[in-house]
Amino acid sequence: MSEPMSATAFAWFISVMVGGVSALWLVYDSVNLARALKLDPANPAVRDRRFGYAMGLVMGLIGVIGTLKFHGVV
Amino acid sequence: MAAVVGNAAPAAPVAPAPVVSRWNPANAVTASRFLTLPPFVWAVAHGYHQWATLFMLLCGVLDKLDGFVARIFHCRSTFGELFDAITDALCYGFGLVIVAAYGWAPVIPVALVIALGIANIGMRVAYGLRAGRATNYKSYAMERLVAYTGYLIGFATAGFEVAFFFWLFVPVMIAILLYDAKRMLVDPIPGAPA
Repeated sequence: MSEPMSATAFAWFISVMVGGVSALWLVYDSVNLARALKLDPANPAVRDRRFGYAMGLVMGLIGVIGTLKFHGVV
Repeated sequence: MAAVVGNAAPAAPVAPAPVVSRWNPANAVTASRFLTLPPFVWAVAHGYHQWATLFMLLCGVLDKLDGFVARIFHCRSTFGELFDAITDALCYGFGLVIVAAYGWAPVIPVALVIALGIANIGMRVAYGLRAGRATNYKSYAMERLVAYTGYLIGFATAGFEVAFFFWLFVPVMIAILLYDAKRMLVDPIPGAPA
């Protein structure tokens, strides 16, 4: 039994799965947060959305920085 | 028939919620996630990093698929949501323990994450008791954190900046749990009388 792909291909596969998805997530939650900021903050559901999207941004940023770190960029 | 108080108009009849069997396609997909765990353990035990990552990836894909299947087959239910949350906790908790046990992830952040996860389960139970019904607490931040947890195991199996991702996960999880703790234990329950 051997691994399904070469070490280099696997490193790039993981990089795309982490860095690519994180970058897309940054954009997705930025748009979501921009929309949620226009809603009434007195509504607890709106506050939950805002917090969730803000944390999504933080996680997306961590993913992008981690991927760049893996490739020695930062 | 409900009594009409004063001059208030009678409430419009509410359609009864459809009864959904627990033996439905969405719950079958959720349950199938457990089938990824034995091959995952086998791959970790034999040092196959790539296979272990792919089995955990499959577990994560099935997590996304069950909600999709529930919408297609119209079989969403409270039980399904709870079963999904419990499966998340068991699969990802188990995965974290395995990668830590085999030295693929740092033990201290894994122990902290599991302790915080248990605290979160306790708060969800308390929320269910406050609401007076079996209910799954919804949180946008927690949905994202669960996805990060799945990734966390993948970082460990792939050897991908493991310490960076594991140590940064802990403060993010603490911030989300503090925010959710207030909502679950202090704030009024949505839909409940004030």
